[in-house]
Amino acid sequence: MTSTIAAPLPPDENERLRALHASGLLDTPPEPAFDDLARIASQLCGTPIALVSLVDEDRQWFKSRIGLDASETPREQAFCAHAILRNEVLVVPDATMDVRFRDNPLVTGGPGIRFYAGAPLEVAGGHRIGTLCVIDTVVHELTEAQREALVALARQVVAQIELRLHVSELQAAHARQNLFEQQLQRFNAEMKALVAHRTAELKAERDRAELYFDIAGNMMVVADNGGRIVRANRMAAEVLGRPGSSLPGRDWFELCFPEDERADARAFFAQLVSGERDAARRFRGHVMTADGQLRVVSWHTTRLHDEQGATTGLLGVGEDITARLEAEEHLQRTLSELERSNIALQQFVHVASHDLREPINSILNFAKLLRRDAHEADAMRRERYVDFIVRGGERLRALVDDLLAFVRLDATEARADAVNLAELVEETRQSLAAAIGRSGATIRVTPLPVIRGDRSLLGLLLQNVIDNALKFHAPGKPPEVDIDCDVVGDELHVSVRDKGIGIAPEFQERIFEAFQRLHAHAEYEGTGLGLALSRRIADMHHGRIFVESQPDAGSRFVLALPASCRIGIASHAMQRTEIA
Amino acid sequence: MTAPLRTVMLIDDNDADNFFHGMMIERSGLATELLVFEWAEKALEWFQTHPGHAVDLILLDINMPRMNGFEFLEQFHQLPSVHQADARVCMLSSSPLEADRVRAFTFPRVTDFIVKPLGDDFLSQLTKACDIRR
Repeated sequence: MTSTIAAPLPPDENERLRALHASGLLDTPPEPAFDDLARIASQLCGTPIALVSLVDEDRQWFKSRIGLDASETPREQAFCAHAILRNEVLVVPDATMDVRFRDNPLVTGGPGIRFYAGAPLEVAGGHRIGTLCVIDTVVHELTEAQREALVALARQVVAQIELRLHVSELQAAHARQNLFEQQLQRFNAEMKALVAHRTAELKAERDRAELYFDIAGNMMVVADNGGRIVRANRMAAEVLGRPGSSLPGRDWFELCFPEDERADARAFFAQLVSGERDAARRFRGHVMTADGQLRVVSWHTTRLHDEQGATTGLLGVGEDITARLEAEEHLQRTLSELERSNIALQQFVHVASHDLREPINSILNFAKLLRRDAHEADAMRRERYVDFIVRGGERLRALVDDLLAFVRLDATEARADAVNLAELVEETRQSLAAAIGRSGATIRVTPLPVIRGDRSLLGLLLQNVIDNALKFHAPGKPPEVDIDCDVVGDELHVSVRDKGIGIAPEFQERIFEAFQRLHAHAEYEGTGLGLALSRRIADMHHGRIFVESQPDAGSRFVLALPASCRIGIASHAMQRTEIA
Repeated sequence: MTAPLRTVMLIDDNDADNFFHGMMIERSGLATELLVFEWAEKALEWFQTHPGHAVDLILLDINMPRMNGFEFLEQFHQLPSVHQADARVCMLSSSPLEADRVRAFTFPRVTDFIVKPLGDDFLSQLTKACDIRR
């Protein structure tokens, strides 16, 4: 039975072990620096074996071994476990003579240790983690110089250990730094790529926004709180009639409003910016273009904010509705004109059909009577029937003629001939020659001008008016008609005056309406259309026709035309024409 | 044989119609006497100067110059009843306009509305006016 006296544990065992493990030496491959020191120790002390031994928890492990094969031995057999207990070299000259070691298997068996000398390796903090030891299989002594050298070498081992530790720490730090740098570079590259990508995205987004801003069909204007233009799109520039590049930086109100409207517009804008007025509500305003015309714009605005929520300005989106409004107005006007003319047409058709029915009824009535009474002896009576039939036919023809003339006026535009009024009166006189001769009328004409107008329409008008003057003469007196011309203000008055029966004031306007007659058929013939026709013709010449009259004192019909229609005096006008 | 009506008055500006209608009435033996006016104003004047007259029926044209049939009706209905006497009114119109017919019948004295021309059967169209007298 073998008994070994194991070394007690040093008081700092835990800290010592921690320092040992921290050294990072355990189970590492041999290193020349340690092997060199061990070899120097073996040569210095003249021993075949030298070791750098590290005392672990339950073993001693050799970082360097000269002359020994084993890489480790159990701690309880370790001489070094004893050597680390004190801060001095442990010398065992003959192990067989030392109670602590004589039963040690390393003494009693292979390699048969007799001599041992170990200098502790004391690292920072005073912890002894192992030894530099020399061993011999024969009894040995250590000189003082050898002892000191061994201690110095042990310090070198410690220095080596610390150096090694620093190196590895440095290496680790370096590696960490490298790693960190690599990570940093990778991160950097990633960041760069990310930033580039995001920048490209932002740019694309901005380009897109810019594009939308520009191709928008509406005006888009961004103004700051003071009403200065920040941006304006192509449509805004187009409506304003200014180059787009000239807009940013300009004051919106100075640019787009007449001077007297600027203050009001600015106040309205300030209310939109301050939120006093709901910015989302649409409103209609106008803008002045570069050439001074006003365009109507339907606006809707949005307040713009910065990240802190403060208002930075206003985005206005506006649609130029000028053309649309004009079109709507035009449509409305056309519609109401159509409506008016439609109503007028219905009334006209009604009255026309009524008036046409009268002579037709008359013709049919008497034709039927004639057929029934054909064999009666009363020739006088039959002649009377035929008279009525003829009169009905004539009346029907006159009505149809006038109606056609009236209806045709709607489809014609007045021509702009040079019309010699004196000639026209003369022609009218000739066409009314039969009536003039029958009634013994006198017609007097003063010099008349040449005017611009529609010759045949003006002829129709004169014929109607002169015909009336002949027709409505005082009972028993031959008609007297005076035709003359005056400039009154900015009008040219062509008047036809008679000394006939006159017209009561209450009828003086009504006579110009279609189918208005003032007399029973037997008294005066007429279709009720002549003066309505005349009024239409006057309208078509941008003039008017009116009557001045007193019952029983005669009438004066006046055709008033714009004075500008006069283009000369008839050269061959007779001073005074009398026709009897 | 006595005529169903005493006097019939024609008011129409169209002399041809008056002649024709007068003849029809004469031949029918509807009335003892016939009065003809080409002017509504003149007819109104006659009523104003003939209280208690014998006119049983007025044949009244609508479309007349100056005073038309409706204007006449307005004035006639404002006459004292002794001037209106027993007269009933039958409207005569050249055109069958519903608005005219409706308007005519708002006047109490209007009993009939006939579209011209009067045919041989016009008597039967006047039954109401004749019934009143009988």
